Amino acid sequence: MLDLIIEHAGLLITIALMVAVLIPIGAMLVWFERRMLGFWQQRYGPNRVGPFGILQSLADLIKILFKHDWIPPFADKPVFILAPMIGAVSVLMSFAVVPMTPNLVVSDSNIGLLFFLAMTSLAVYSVILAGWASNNKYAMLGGMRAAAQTISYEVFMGVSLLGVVILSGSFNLSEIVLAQSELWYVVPQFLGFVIFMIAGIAESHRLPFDLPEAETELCAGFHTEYSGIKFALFFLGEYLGMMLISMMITTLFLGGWMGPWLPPIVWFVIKTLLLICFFILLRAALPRPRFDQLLSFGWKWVLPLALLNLVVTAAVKLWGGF
Amino acid sequence: MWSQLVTLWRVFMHLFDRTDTVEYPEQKPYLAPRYRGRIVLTRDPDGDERCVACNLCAAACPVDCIALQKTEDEDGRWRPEFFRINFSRCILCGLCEEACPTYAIQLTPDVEMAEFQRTNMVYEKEHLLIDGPGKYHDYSFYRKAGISIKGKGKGEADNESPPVDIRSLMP
Amino acid sequence: MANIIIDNQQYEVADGQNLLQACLSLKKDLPYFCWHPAMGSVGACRQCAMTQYHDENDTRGRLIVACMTPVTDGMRVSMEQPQETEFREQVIDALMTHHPHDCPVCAEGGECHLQDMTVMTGHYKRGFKGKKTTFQNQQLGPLIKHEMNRCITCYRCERFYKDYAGGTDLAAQSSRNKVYFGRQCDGTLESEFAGNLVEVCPTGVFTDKPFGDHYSRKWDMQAAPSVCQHCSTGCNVTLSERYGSVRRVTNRFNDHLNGYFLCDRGRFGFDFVNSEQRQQHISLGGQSVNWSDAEVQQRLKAKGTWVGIGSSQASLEDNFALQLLVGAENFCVADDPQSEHLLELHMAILQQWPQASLAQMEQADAIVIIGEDINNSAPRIGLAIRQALLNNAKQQVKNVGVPEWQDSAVRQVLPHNKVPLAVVGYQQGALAEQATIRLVADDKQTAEQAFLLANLLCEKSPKPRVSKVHSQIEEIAEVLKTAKRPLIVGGWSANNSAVLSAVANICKALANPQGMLCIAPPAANTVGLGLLMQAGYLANEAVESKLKSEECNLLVLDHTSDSRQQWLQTLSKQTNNVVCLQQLAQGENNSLSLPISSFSECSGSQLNYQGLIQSYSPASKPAGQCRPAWQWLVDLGKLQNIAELASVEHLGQLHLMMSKLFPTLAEHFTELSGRQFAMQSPRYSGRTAMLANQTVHEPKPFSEAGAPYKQSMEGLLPGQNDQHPLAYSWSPGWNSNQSNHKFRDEFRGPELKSQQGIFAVPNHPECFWFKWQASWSANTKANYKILAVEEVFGSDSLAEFAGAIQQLSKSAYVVVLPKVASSLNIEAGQWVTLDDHPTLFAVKISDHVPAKSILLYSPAHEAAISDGCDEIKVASKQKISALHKRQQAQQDVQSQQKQLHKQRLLDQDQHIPIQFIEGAM
Repeated sequence: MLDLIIEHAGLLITIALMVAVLIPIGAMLVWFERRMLGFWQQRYGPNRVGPFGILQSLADLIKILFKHDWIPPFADKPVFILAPMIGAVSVLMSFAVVPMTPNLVVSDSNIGLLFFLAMTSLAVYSVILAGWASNNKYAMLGGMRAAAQTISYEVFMGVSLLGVVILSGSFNLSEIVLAQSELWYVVPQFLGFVIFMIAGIAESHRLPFDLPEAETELCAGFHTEYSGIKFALFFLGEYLGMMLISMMITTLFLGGWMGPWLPPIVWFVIKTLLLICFFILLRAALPRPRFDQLLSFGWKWVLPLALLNLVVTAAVKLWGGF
Repeated sequence: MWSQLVTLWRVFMHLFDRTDTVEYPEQKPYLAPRYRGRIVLTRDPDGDERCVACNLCAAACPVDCIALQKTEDEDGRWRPEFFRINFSRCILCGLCEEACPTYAIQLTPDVEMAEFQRTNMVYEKEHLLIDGPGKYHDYSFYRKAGISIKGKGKGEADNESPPVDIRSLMP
Repeated sequence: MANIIIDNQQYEVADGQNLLQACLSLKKDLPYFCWHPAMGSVGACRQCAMTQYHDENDTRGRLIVACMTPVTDGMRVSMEQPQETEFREQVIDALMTHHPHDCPVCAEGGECHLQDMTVMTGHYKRGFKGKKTTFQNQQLGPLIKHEMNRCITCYRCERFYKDYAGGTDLAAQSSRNKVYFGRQCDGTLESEFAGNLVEVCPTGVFTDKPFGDHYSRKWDMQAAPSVCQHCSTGCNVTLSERYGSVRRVTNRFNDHLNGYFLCDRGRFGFDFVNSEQRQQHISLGGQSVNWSDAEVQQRLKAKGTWVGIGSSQASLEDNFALQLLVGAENFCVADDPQSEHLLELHMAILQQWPQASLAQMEQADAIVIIGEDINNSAPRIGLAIRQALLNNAKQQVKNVGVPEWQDSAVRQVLPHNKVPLAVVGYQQGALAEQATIRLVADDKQTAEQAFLLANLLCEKSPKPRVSKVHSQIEEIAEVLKTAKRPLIVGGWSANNSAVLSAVANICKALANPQGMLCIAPPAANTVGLGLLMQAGYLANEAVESKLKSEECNLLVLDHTSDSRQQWLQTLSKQTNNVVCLQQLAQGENNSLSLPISSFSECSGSQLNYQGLIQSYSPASKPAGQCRPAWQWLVDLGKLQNIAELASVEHLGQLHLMMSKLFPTLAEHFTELSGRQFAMQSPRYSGRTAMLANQTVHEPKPFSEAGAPYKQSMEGLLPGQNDQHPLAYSWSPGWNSNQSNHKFRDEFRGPELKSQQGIFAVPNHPECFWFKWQASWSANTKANYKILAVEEVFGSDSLAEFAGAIQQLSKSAYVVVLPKVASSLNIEAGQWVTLDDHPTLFAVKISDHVPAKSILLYSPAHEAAISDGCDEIKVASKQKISALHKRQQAQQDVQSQQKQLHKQRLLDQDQHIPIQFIEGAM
């Protein structure tokens, strides 16, 4: 046992570091989003707790920890407790395959991309189980929506990535990054980039595609009955998800850690942060579509485009002579 | 699609605009004298309570947060024995002030009245009563009303003739 | 029926009424002041102006006053054209010229007819720029407050007080814009109906003084339909509550009983529920104890027979529960053998003869009152009889084609068209003074003459021993023979069963199907006790012997009369376990007393003089440890393992058990259950603040299990269901009690609708003669026979606990013949003693006293004197000065108590008992 630990000490430290850094960053993102939203709406956002309100998330965390950890008497108790854990854990697992620098990656797996897709698919269980276990009509509706939405968008999320895979010839994310040393895939795979971005938003239930928790219609959707630390897990999961999607886009389309002059991690962070900002801007600017609009947009527009992208990319690869 | 992109651009450009937020506790906004804030009970120009416990404010109150009981003092004036406003229910709508026939109940531009205990939001008469006439300096209900009180007999109110002698046969 | 066209809309209305009545019965908003549904029209205020048109081509029409215009078939009028609406606004403008701008400090505000009418006509600004006329007010006694400035000279007060109620000391004075309504000088209003001025006055000239001391606006009060407790008439009243205390009683319209008016005993007597003497804790020998205390439990579980004594002041439910607990064979219904006998007799008569309602009595064309002072024992019936006196005059004006609601016409011909009113007996009172035929006789002679009267009417009727018929009796016989709707009135106040028997015999002898009978029992629920008596009872005389012969416990339902207290004292010598259920703490003895809630705090039913069952609802919550008596009795039943009673959980189950025993009651009780009615008006204020000083957690409103009235704003509003009595009378735009017309027809027309309700005592058509009994012929041996008389204020022991009534109560007096006075050398106003009785009596001298008798009045709280006395002596100076001192001290105490009472109630407002509210601490 001990030898195992010593053998993989570097790995364990990396995992610990990742978790220790990612979760606080996820929490910080909440504050960051609220500030950014504030600026885009000509106000300040939270600016009271600590310098620039930076400790707001800490304050929120303390508050949420001290809240009554309540399980409704009508809920399915084990599932109710399990659901938020699945959400947070599945997202955290995905980070394992993201290469932040050439060296900073937990598992430089050669099926990294597939692992990422698998984990995001698992995340939907969290939502649908939460909706089911809450035994509440709003939660149930939210859960159903989440399931339908995730299943739909997962399809062309995968399809849109195949272009990248074709170009790089690998499922290993580090290799995909290295394959972009001459040209970021955002240029040849622009369509794939856009589709992946849309699908990513839908997968992480971010606005404007946050129909599972649309508060104007469904109170808070699948997490209506949640409070305290379980709610915090959902919340954290959502922000980690946003971060994950941003990282994946960076990795797959924007050349990952690569860039001149600055150290690789800085480039990675800058690219990710800009994408996060873009996600927040979407939230600030765009209204939420109707659910049927969301699905028909997915199946009628995005899927054909993704297939087209795949076919064209494959054709160019086969006969274009790159 | 284009309009979505324009929206995104426009919203993004707000980043470079000035914020409209008023930094409230440091930066006090101007509240007009007729602003609807904390409720007070005022006194007439002679320094007596204006409230005659007519109950109209209580009836007008949409959240029923005013309760009072009338009593009549030795001097013939009506007064509230108790006058209670439950500010934890009050919505500062100002209907009580509109309803008050004696200008007794008035809203002030003081809006900072948060408490940790709800019971502390229950104001009794001694908390509500102020020393001055508030916004209306000259009005005194008993000078207008025909009821007699100590120091003002029948026929001594504004625009009244002295009491008639009903035994007199003179026209 | 007549078809009339109002504003081009055709309506069908009843004949014989005036246009105003017709419009109001059609629920139209037509302003008016001087007209009153019970008092007819005089056309004094011109407020109800409308325009009448000849035919459909007539576009101009002419202004008419609706209350003076009879409806005729095919008449065309308009109510909403500019011509008449502008005229009506001008009228209000003129009436308001001198109005003093003091609505906020006026007790009428919020239920003021003048306010309503001013808003209705659209008048909002004083047009006249000159000075306002002002008046000095008068002190009108402890009941009525006077504020003359507010007067609009509609003359309603004078018309009610003088014409309707027969008062003599209030009238219009002076002329022009100086017209003044008041007494000749300051002083208490003499009429016992003065309280109605408060409701009759369309504005705030006359206001309720005790209510003003602890005032609340109408909209703020939680109101419950209730029944008056102060005599057997069973007048319908509304109790109003605010901050946990009952504030006032107002009239609740019942077309067959009280109509629009109450007597002052009923209106102001309710205050006993707020008395300091209300018992609030379980007490043992004067010490507060708890239910679970060993000694209390031991007393309640004591072995031996339990003897129960019922009470005519308690509800039917309470008495029934007591009867169940002790068993019918141990249930005693009366304080003395005589009243037990009277009750038996009364029930026998009630089974033979239905009793007339007040509205029916008002239609009588000949009235014979036999041995009863109806004006004092049941004042409201007296008032109804007074209205019957107008019938001949009404008939007379009808004969010449003038409608009978033309009040001044009727009054004009009244002196020459009197309705015969015969009074036989020794009773004094206002009606006796108006009698056209009067025979002064003591109770025995009264009974004899009444038997003879029956015999004159029908020869089969049994005769008494004497045979000398007074000329007055012959006259009465003639009157009765010719009368179409004669009314015979009798009662208990002579305390003589012969009188009651005679009254029944007269009815039988008359054999007139239109004939009416009214016998007034002494207390609110006397007939209720009589009903329970049918299931069996323990004779009064047997109680003491039973207590002596075996080990007995005594369980007593509260009755405040002095005779009850005295009897209890004798009984308590025979047993050492007396348990009283009482609302008012009286006397210090070794009994265990359980505090019970008053009629204002719980539901209950009672039977009025007709045997009509009426229920009252709680207006407030019981304070302290008070609970309804039946609940205590159920708990006792649990302790003593009386299975039937112990299973009762709420009043509905008790009602079910009663219905099984008395099937006639079932219908009434099922009517009670079902829908929920709001007792608070939509404007009820302060809900989130009135308890805020105690708790900010706004508790759920209190509600009695299964009660049809809910102590909240939720539920049906008044008038949404005709079957149930109104909790309060209010309709949009009609805040005053005049809103009544929105719920029922204002018109008590020539055809009186039959009385609704359940009569608990079924009438059997076969009836028998009551024979003269030998024991009735016995004479007293004393020099002077004492004949007890009653007073409106003073004879009702319950009302004596109300401060205002206490102030009006007279001290004891005797009435003697002038020749007796001169022979004894005493003068009116002097103080005398009778034999060695400690009480001092003031002397009054009157011709209307039977020979060898004296009339005696002693207040309910002073020991009564039995049959006769031998010696009347002028009281010694020491005694008189002692009495004066005592009276002075009593007055001081009273005024002090009044202040304390007021202060206590005001303090109580801030400490509303909330222990009964769900969700409170």
